[in-house]
Amino acid sequence: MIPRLLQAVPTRYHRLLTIFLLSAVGFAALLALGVPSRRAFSIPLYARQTGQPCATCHTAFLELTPFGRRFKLGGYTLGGGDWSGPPFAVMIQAPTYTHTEAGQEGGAAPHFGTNNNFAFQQVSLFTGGRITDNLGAFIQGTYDGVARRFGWDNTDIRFAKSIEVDGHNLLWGVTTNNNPTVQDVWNTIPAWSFPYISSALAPTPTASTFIDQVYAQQVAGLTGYAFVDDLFYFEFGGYRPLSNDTQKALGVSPTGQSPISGVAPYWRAAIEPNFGDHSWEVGTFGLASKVFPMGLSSAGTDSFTDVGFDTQYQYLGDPHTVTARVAWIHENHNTSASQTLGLADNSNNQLRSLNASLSYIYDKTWSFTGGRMSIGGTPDATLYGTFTGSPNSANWITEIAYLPFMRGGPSFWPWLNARIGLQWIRWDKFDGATSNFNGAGRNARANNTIFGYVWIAF
Amino acid sequence: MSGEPEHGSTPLSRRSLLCGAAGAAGVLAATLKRALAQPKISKVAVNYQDHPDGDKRCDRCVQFQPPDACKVVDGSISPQGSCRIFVPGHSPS
Repeated sequence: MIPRLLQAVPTRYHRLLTIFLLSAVGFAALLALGVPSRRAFSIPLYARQTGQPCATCHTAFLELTPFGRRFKLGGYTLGGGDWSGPPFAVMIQAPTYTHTEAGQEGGAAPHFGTNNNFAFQQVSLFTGGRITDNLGAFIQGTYDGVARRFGWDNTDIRFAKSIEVDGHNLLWGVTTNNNPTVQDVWNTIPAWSFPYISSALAPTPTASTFIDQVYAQQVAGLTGYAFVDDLFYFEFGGYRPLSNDTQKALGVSPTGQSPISGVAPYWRAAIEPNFGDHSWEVGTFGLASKVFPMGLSSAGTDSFTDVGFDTQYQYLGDPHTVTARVAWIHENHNTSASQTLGLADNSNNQLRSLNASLSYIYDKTWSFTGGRMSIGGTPDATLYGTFTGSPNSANWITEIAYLPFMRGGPSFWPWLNARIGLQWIRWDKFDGATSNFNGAGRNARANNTIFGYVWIAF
Repeated sequence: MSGEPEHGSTPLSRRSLLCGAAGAAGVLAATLKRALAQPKISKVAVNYQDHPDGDKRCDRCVQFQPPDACKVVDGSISPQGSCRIFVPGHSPS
């Protein structure tokens, strides 16, 4: 894998990549070999609360196991640990290294060069866990080291209770959160899907479906859910936009948003049979709303309906773990208001996205993942602002990651967890073309990316 | 064309947001003063079996609560049982 990655990098950058790799390996060796390991105890906040190692809730963090899914559905309230300290945890994504096959004119981002950028990508503070026996939370605040801004991040506060109804077990709950799909427990749909970490300095396609992170941290949602007989899952609720002042107070820039008008209904249904070491989920999800295009109301509203289907299979053996994930989303986007405002060519557009990936994890320590992402739909040059007018993009992504502490951290801080990884993205098509997608002669493969990262939590 | 959206719900200052959050927490704390049983994890989710898995036995796990319970797994638990989330550390009585 690594020789292949080196082959993909021009010779003059071998030194930089080699330095990164050696640093990462050195860091891992220092932590994994230089200090005695002991039993660990997942996000470290929850590990401390439950007395369980990270591997109980995660196959390779942040992907959840059946236990981790039920811990979340149970409102983050499960105990079992003897930790009596404050309920906080810290996560750092640094250093990261981003190389694209050709440099990005003008710089990958303000304050960064055209290529081969090292970054302190992100640091997050978490709090939450069990508040009462039935109320718990996942609250994340993040300093974005690329945008150089602090703001609130994924937040999920929920009440959950388990009861017996006519011989059936019913785990029901209510969640208030700030990102449609952040409350979900399968690693197929947008908020928690693969890749779990991406470079903030690599090119990303222009088009995405509304349910795919467009409203992250811009909305407040309330949904109710029921998990019946540990098998059937149903959820329904809605999202409202936060005011501009509220968003600013929380560190979110409202510029350029197309806010929801009224309440956007969200739904989710899934079935997850577990048998022995196997767990298989099949489900559907969706979000629909009227929106003010670019915040403008003079022409009325656009509307969209996103409908998705997903499936996830996990084999949870020891030492072998395998996860296969597929999610497909269809979006119908009525853009009549945008058309009137001159923001779209068509009065109706459609998008279809696919995200499929397969992971093999050895001994809860080495993770190997291959995946395919594609998005495509109706061409609309004004709406998407692409040279080709097409929203179509597709890539292949491979990743290798080393997770030395899934079973337990070093003796000085047994709740330390780390993921050191190398990711390679190969673009077949970008913003509608394989060649000259931007009208300036740039080809899709110029965006091929190598991303190295150190990701730790404690 | 880009700019701040004209639409949104009622403006909220950082101060009122924090006060609201503190108030909500207080109300929740008062409302939920009476503790309810927290949800545990089902046996099927941890692949629980009524027999040991090698050296892994429930009565050797830190989560075991004699005589027949677990801090995290629901239902009656056999000391001779085993499951996927075994964490060594408990001395069998």
